[in-house]
Amino acid sequence: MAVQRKATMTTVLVVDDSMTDRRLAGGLLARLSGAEVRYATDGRDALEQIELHLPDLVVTDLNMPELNGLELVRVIRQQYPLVPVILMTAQGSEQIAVDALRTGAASYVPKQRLAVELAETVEQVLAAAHADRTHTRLMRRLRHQEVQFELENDQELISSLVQYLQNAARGMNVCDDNERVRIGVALQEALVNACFHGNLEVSSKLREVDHRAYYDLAKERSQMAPYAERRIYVSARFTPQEAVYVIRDEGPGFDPSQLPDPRDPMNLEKPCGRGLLLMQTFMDEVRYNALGNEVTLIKRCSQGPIAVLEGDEG
Amino acid sequence: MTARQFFATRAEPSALEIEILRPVGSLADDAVLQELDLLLNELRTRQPRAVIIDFRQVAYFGSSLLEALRALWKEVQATGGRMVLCNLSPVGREIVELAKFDHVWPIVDTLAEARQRLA
Repeated sequence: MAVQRKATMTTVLVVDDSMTDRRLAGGLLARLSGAEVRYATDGRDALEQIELHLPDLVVTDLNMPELNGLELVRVIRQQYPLVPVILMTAQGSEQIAVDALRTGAASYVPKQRLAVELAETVEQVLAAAHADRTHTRLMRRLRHQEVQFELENDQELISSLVQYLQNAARGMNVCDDNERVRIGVALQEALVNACFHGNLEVSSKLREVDHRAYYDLAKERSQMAPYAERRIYVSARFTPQEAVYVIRDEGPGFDPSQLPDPRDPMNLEKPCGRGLLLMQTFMDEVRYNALGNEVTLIKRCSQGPIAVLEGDEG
Repeated sequence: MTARQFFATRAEPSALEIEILRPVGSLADDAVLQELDLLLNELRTRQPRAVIIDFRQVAYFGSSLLEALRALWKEVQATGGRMVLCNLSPVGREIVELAKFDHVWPIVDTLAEARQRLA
């Protein structure tokens, strides 16, 4: 028999320094979606309220004293990533709205169209947020995951794989959003190294002289035997404790200890070693095999469990 | 601003402003490389005495973008110009500082500060 989850009323926090606009949005939400509406007068007040009572959704103005809407979106994305934010935009604030969407706001409604569009937007955002939460709950129950890829020397595939591997680590709760970014940078460097220096055997020394010649040679070799047949092999293992990535190319390998230290002022002009530096900085462990054509990158979970949302304890 | 995919430029009285529009995964991408070459040509033609690199649209990047900046810097440096970075995210700042490029290119918080610094 299916077990029904307890039905709870949706809580929406409306944030606006204008009492008139606050009441207008709150009234529409209460009337149209039957939500329990709470109010905050600016971003700082909103954060205090969220700490006291986590809402299902935040609907916020952009231009406010203290903490404005854009800054509020940023903090909510960092501290309460599962709480979606809808912006109410006034004429003239379109650019800030674009910035806020890039920062992670779920959607926006022009203030002059609140009566027409707010309820529908709220419904769509809440439905998407519910699906996200359910997925997140499911991922928290995943105990072990292993994946393997075999890639051509294709930059688009590399970028897409980086995104996949980042998200897998985030989904398993190995890292928070900030660490997810760092993992992405490290993986991108490792994969680009495997492709250019490993499989295509293009040396950074050429890039030092002429970056165009470096990439032209890489392009030429990506169509030429034996380079073109070489593949990048990637395996990744995820547990709630760590993410382990192993990236191997089919090139001749290299000796990482021979790379110049890119932090040495003498080497600032040289294009080598920065990728490895980023990998070593953003991962907890980086090691090469004896041949130097396989790198293992490990990211360990350094955080406690993400705060469990109300009704998410099951 | 010129309409480009990766690097938009705007000539201001005190500096040529270059805005990074999206993450540059690899310079091997033809579109990136072409735009980088256009930018290098623009620097050769204009010979600005200062360049501002604005990162407001890019949360993070790797050594490929650092490599592009290094190429730009070589052109700016050749004519005795200065280069300032602004609007870096915390991770972006960390990456630039790790590579010690902050010793060569000052980092400021906002575009306004960058303009002021170069005025």
